[in-house]
Amino acid sequence: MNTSLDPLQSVQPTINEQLTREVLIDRHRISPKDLENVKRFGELITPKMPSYVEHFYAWMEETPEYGQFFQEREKLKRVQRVQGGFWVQFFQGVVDDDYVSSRRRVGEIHAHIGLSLTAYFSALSFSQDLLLYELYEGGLSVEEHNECARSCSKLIQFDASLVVEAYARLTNRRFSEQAQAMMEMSTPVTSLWDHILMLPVVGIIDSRRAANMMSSVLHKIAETRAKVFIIDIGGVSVVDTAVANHLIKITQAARLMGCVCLLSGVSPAIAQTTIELGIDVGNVLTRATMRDALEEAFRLIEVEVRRA
Amino acid sequence: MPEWGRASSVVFTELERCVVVTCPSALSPVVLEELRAQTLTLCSERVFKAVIFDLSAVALLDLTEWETLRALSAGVKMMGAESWLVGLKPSVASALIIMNADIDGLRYAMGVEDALEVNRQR
Repeated sequence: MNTSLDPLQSVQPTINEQLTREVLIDRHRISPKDLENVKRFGELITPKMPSYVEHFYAWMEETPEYGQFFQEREKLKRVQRVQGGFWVQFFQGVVDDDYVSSRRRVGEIHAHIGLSLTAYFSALSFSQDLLLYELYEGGLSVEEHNECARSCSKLIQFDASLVVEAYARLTNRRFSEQAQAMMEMSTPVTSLWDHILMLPVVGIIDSRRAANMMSSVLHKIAETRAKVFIIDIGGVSVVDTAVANHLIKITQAARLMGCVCLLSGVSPAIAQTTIELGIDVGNVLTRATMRDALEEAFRLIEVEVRRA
Repeated sequence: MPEWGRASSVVFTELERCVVVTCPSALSPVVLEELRAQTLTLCSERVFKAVIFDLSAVALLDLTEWETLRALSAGVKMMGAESWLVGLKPSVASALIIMNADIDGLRYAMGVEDALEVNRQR
């Protein structure tokens, strides 16, 4: 199948994109009649909100999350007030931008405090059952009650989709930030001297890390106008053909920017492996130790270091 | 600072017996041809220590354009001047290496001043 012809592909948002309120309402097939039903049912159930909050937290006390999140009495009272307000707003049957924002905010708070989606959905299911059936004491015909319950369920699922969307977006953003931080920590380009930069490399070099190293190295060269760049590979666990190629490419790219790249920390084992694999290091300057590389770097920028 | 030529988008400037060729952001075949013709004509009329191609404005460079620049640099060398490519952006440099561009036989510097500094010492 040619994916470019897939009609869904053009309208499928990524997880980080927010759908508009109108699109969401349309997707959940929420009609003005549904909102009327929610409001109508709300007029009957809203006076029972204190009872709902009481039942809900009695149930919550038995869940493992209760002890984790509600140890402080003041905090518990505050959350209970918010919880009641959440449902009062729900039963007003007005889905405007403020309503959508408040639901997204719930998702963000849950992601922020680390409440699992399992806990959220079980609480939602409990609340739905309590509000639509257990606390309902009549006032509508059976058909009318069924119709109102159906409309409320639609809006509950609408709410849940907003919460999950915001939850996923925040969680993904956090993962991306962590990955970025890890990547930056793995390429700590340091200025050793005027015009001399150094990058100690520890661990495994894969294509992604090599690309990141190249980008960091080149940008740092441009930023500092460095003339010599030392890459210390003493901490690289394995140097095979792929790793050697990555390193050669970084040195070549640095050369294009007028910067000489030196490889230090070449151990006897690395030298032996390189020769055995028949890797041509070409014009790359290599040194056994960091000290030798630094000495060479000083020579290249015509700096003489003497004891005082 | 004498500035002789401005044929459409390429600027030629003489500095310390070197000629600095300031390239535009996009090196189309027409621009490259103009660059080639004007540079070689200049090198045949005057004696320079070096021709410095300033590529700091260039945002994209494909292999064909790169090879044209290499061929031009070889021509400059044949006419007795040293050829320098300076000011390559990090993104351009990494893209050239990823595309396995041949970078041997040329001299590179971070900026025009760096290349001039080396030529001053010659």
